[in-house]
Amino acid sequence: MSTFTAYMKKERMESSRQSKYLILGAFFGFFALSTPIMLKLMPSIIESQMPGFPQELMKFDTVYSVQNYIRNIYQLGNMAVALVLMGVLADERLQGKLVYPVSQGAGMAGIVGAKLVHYAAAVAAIVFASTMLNYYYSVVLFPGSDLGVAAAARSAALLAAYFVTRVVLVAFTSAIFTKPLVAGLAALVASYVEPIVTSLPRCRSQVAYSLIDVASNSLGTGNVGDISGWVLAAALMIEVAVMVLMTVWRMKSVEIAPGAGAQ
Amino acid sequence: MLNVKALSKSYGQTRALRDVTFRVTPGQAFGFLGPNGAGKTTAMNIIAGLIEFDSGNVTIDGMDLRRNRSGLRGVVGYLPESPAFYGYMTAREYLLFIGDVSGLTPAANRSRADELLDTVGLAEAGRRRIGGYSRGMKQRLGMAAAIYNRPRLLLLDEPTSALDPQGRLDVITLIARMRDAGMTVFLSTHILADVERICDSVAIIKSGAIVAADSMDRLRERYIQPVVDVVFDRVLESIPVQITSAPHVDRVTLDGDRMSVFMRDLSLGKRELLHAMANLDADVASYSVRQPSLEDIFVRLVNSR
Repeated sequence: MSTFTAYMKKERMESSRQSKYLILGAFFGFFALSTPIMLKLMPSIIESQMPGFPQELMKFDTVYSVQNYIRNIYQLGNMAVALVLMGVLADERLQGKLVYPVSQGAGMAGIVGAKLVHYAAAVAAIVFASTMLNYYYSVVLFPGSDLGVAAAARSAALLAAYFVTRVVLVAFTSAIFTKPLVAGLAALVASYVEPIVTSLPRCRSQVAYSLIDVASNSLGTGNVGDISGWVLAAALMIEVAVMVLMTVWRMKSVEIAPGAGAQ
Repeated sequence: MLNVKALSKSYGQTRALRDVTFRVTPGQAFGFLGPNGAGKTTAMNIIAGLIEFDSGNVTIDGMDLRRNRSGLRGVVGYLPESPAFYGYMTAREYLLFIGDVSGLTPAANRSRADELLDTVGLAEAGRRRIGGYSRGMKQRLGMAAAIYNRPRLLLLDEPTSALDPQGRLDVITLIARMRDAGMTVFLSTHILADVERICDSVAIIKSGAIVAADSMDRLRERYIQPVVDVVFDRVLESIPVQITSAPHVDRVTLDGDRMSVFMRDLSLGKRELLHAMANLDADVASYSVRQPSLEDIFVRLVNSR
C-alpha cells in the first residue's frame, strides 16, 4: 500500500510540474469550445466561399454540435492521450528510474496501480468536464434544443469511460514496448482499428469503440442499434482487467535495470 | 551477510556470469574488481534483486534472494553506476518519495531526509531541482537514497567513476563512514586505489568468472610478485645476462637507466641480485624493493589467464 500511496503522490507532482494536466485540459477544452463555434460560423463561411450553397443543409442544433464533438474527439483525443502517456512505464524502465524504488522494496502492482488510477481519474475528469463545456456552449450557440443536462452528462460519462480504457491500453503498450514512441503508436493503431472490428458480426458489444457510438447516438434518436449495455459493460470490464493484469505481469517480468541485456 | 554460490547469467549466447562464487562477511567492505564488461554490474543488479539469474544461489542475511524479495526490503541499499532521478523533484522531495515507498511515517521521513541531506553535503542544495545537479551531486544524492532505509548491505556500483578528485574523496570518505558504522559494503569498481583505501577483502572478476577472492592481506601474500627497482648512473644498452640468469629472478624489464627485476623469491633473490650488480660496469644510483599494490595483483590476474 505504501508503494501505491507514494506513486499516487509522485504522479500528481509529475503531471502538475510537467504540465500534463494543462496539456490534456487545454487540448480537450479547445475542441470542446471550438466545435460549436466552428459549426455556428460554418454557414457564413460556406456562403462566402460557395454562394448559393443550400442553407437547409447547414441547420445545426445542440445535439448535432455535441455529437460532432464526440466524433472528433475520438480521433484527436486518442492522439493526445497516447502522446502524453506513452512513456508512463516505458520511460521509467528505459531511464532506470525504477531502480531506486524497486531496490527499496516498491511493488510493481502498486506502481502500475497508482499510475493507472491516477491517469484514469485525471483523463476521465478532463473528458467529462470538457464534454459538459461543449454541451454548455452548444446550448448557448444553438438555443431551442430539448437536449437535457442529464442526457449530456450520460454521454460525457460514456466518453470518459472510453478514454479510461485508452489510458489502460497506453499503459499496457508502454509496458510491452521499451521505446515510448513505439508504445504510443501501437496504442493508436489499436484504437483506430477498433471501428473496423465493430463491423464484424456479434463484435459490436465487445469493443470500447462502441462507447463512442452509444455516447453519440443516444443523444439523438436514442437508437444504439444492437449494442447491449450490459454485455458491453461486462466485456469492457473483463478487457480492462486482463490488460491491467498483463501490464503488472509484464512489468514484473522485465529487467528494470538500465542497460540490462547489454552485456 | 552475502553468500553468492555458482551464480550464472546469460544474455542470449553471451555468458555474462559463469559460476560466480564469493562470500561477504558482516561489517566488511568488499571490493568487486574487474575490467569493463567483466560482469560486475550484472552481478550487482542480480544481488539488488533487479534482474533474474539463470542458475546458482544468492543469500542475503541468511535469506534466499529468489524466495524473499519482499523480505529483503530494508536489508539492501543500492547505488547504481548512473543513478536516475526525477529531474522535476528537489533532492528533499526525492528522498521523501523513497521514504514513502519504504513505508516510513511522515515525521520519521522528514527527519531522515534532512539528516541524510546533511550527511551527503546537500543540505543547502536540497531544495533545488535535481535536473540542475552536477554528476557529483547526483552521486551523493544516490548515496543518500541507497542508505535511506538503513540497509545492512550496501551495494555500490562504480560510485566514484566520472567524479573529480574532490568528489571521489568525498564519496570514499562517506563509504568509509558507512563501513565504520557497521554497514556491510559491497563495492564494484575498476579504480583500484579506492579499493585499497577502504576494502578488507576483494574478488576479481574477468570475463564473467571469479579469478581470485580473498582478504587483501592473503591476496598480497599469494599473488604479489616481489619487484626490485634499480636505477643506474647511466643508460644500459641491454639487460645484463648475470641478472637474468640468476635462479630466483623471474623476469627483468629495462627502460633506459631503470631496471625492474621480478623475483620468484625476494629473500633469496635480493642477495643474488646484489652480487650480480656488483660485477656490472655501471654504478647503482638507487635500489628499492617496490611496495606491493592491488594494481599489481589485478594486472597479473587479469592478464595471466
